[in-house]
Amino acid sequence: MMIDFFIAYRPLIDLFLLHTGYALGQYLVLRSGTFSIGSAGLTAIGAYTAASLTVKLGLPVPLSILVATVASVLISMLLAWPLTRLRGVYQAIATLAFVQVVLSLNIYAEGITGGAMGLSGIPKAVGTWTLLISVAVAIYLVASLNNSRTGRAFDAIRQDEAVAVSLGVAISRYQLLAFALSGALAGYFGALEAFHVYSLEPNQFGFPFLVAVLSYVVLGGRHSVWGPVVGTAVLVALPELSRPLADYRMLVYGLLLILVINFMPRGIVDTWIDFRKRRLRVQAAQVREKEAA
Amino acid sequence: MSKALILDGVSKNFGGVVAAHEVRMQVPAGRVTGLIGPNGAGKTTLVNLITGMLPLTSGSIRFGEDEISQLSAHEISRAGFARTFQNIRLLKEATVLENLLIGFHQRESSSLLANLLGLPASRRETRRTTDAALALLERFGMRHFADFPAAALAYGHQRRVEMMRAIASEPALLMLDEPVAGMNDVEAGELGDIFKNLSQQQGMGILLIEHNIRFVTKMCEYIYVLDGGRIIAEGSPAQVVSNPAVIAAYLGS
Amino acid sequence: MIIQQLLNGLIVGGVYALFAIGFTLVFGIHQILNLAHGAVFMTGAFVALYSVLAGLPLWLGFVLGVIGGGILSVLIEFVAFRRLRKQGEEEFGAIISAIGVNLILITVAQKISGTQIMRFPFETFPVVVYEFAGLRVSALQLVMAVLAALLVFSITWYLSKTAAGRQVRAVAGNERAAVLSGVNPNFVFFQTFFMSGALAAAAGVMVGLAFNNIHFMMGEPYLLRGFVVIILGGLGSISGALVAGLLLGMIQTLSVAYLPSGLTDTIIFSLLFLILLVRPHGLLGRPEAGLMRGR
Repeated sequence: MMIDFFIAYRPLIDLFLLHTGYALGQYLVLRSGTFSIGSAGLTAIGAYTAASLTVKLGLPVPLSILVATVASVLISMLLAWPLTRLRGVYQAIATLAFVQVVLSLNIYAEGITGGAMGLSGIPKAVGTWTLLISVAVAIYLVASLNNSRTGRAFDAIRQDEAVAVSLGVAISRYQLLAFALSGALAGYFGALEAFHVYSLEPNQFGFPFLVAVLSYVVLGGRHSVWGPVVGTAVLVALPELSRPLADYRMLVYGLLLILVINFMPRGIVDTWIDFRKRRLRVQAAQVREKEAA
Repeated sequence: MSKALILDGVSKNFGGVVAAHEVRMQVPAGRVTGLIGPNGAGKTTLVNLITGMLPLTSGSIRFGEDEISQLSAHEISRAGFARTFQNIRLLKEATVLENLLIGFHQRESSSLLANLLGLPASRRETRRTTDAALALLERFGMRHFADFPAAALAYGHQRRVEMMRAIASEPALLMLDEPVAGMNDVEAGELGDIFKNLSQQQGMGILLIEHNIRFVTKMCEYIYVLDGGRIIAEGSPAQVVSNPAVIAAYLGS
Repeated sequence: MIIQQLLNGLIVGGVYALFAIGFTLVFGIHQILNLAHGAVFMTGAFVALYSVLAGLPLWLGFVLGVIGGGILSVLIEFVAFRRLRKQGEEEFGAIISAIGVNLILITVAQKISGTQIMRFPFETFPVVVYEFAGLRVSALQLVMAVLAALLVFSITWYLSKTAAGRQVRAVAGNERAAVLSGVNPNFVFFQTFFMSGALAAAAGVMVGLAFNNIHFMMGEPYLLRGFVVIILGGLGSISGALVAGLLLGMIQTLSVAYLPSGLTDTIIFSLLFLILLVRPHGLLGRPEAGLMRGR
């Protein structure tokens, strides 16, 4: 019976896994204080590079995925060099410009990318298990990072750069790292998507995609690693849960964004964690009071 | 750890405004040196120049044998400097413990790969740092505040956390920018004992920038007086307090 | 030939400028990137269209569109940004909130228009073309240019010469100081958002008439172009938005006319990226903008 459930909902599960990968990449870069919303561009690069290598040059799928990921990392690092000198909205707009450049170059370079018609005939070599393992590994890597020296440096940079600097944290180096890692995630999962969907077209990595990925992280939470996972789950499941609302999906999305950022700005997971911690603290204080009496 | 901080001819212009002019100062190890002056005298600018947040217009800043004025801000921190800020700058989204953990950043050394893969070396390091942070909290009698959001603490406690964070990296030189502002005498005295202890027991050089003259004269062995970016007087507390130029500067402001 | 293209570009640029001035005005005063600005542009076009379809004269449709845009913009401020102003993280939160509003407005427009592309009835604006010195200018282009100039002039006059406008400028400089000296910030926000929305809606009506291609997504390309204009001009600078808007209009038109199609977007967004790399404060913005302090 469970098998039936999985078979019926397989596409949804695959979608959830893939997009959780994207959300983790976006989460990473935001957590380190870089206001980058450009992972859509790197995803496109990862997807198209991987697909082209296999479809046009006949490279085996795993190799294509590897090369595509490396390419994404390299390009992220190249981007990081100018972007880490910018802050706030300037950084955000620069990454947005990057996404648009990738998109328009993609459409223009028809010979290589198939232009507006896209690339098709991509072998479906990536299945649910690959996605599941990839996401599990990604969550593990990000969680390990959070609990380490690097993760702590990211947190400090995000909250107060002057403090981070005064404690010996090399900001540019860590931001470069954040770009590289999130580029790796974006490119890798982009490559996975390429081998999962038969065909690619440039507009699937444009502004709507960027907004979706950002929404997963905003809804779920930007601190705990489970934030992006939960956020993606909710938003991917939403159209399924609310069939009558399917037509108004974007409207519900928009409403959700406004409500969350205004009333629960830390996102679902982090708000819940904060709530639990506060209860524990209150209980601990009560215990202490009793002991003192 | 007996390096002295030496400023020589340090000047800073902002367009036409002279924020610092030919400042000469020494902050030796193991002593508490004071820097006082009326509001707008340029004390914080000087701190920012020393810590590398602002570039010098001219002059030199040496730490021991090394010229540090050309280094980037985080490199200067790594050379053994720590500071607290005039407006308390704790990481607001973090707990007290998390604020301290980042204080130990310079003393940690695990590689990125170890961090990413969650290798035992990385986990052990995090445990060690956590233990060290908790021990520090214990020393300051604040162990039970570890998991509190830093922003929820009372002002005096926040100041302590900021100080703890600064000394976590065992700096050779600690700069305290108005550490007892807004405190009553008792609280100020307690904090003062703490860093007096640090300088005597651990040989830390301390630069105390303060507005509260009574506190400064009690804490410091040597005091510099800054006004309009210039050192107008220096000497022992007794000398400085009776110096007419100093009195004039404070009355005039 | 080139002069003709430059002329066309100037008109297109005028529309970009109208859009961008509102965009940059809000940023200059509130440090908010109003990503719903494109939807206000689109709403202006729709209001004018439906007014004409309902039998009202075009000029009235235009006025209704402009006022509608202003009111919508004020509503957006109230729904999306008002609460965030009191909390800390305004920059990021405002962007998310604006995206949310944008999604809602676009969906509503989509439903109302039945996902169809809509057009003004033929001859809503008389199709008249003038020729002089070898150049062709349509009556519509002339009217657009004049209207745009009038609107920009009015806004500038309002901000520099009236007492209310001075209050707006005071808040732009230093909100807390302005509030302390008696300025009512809510009234200022009302004004800036109204003006911003009115300009965007005016641009929307003009574009709607000029290209006769009114649909629920029509604002998005202008929003993206808007980013280029406000950065090129300097965030917060109205004169910058004006100059940069006209410039971009000419670049756009020349590129479409003389370069292989599809390259235009690449050029424009590469330009945006380049400016941020080299001179993030744009042509007329303040130099400290955008960069980190310290070394």
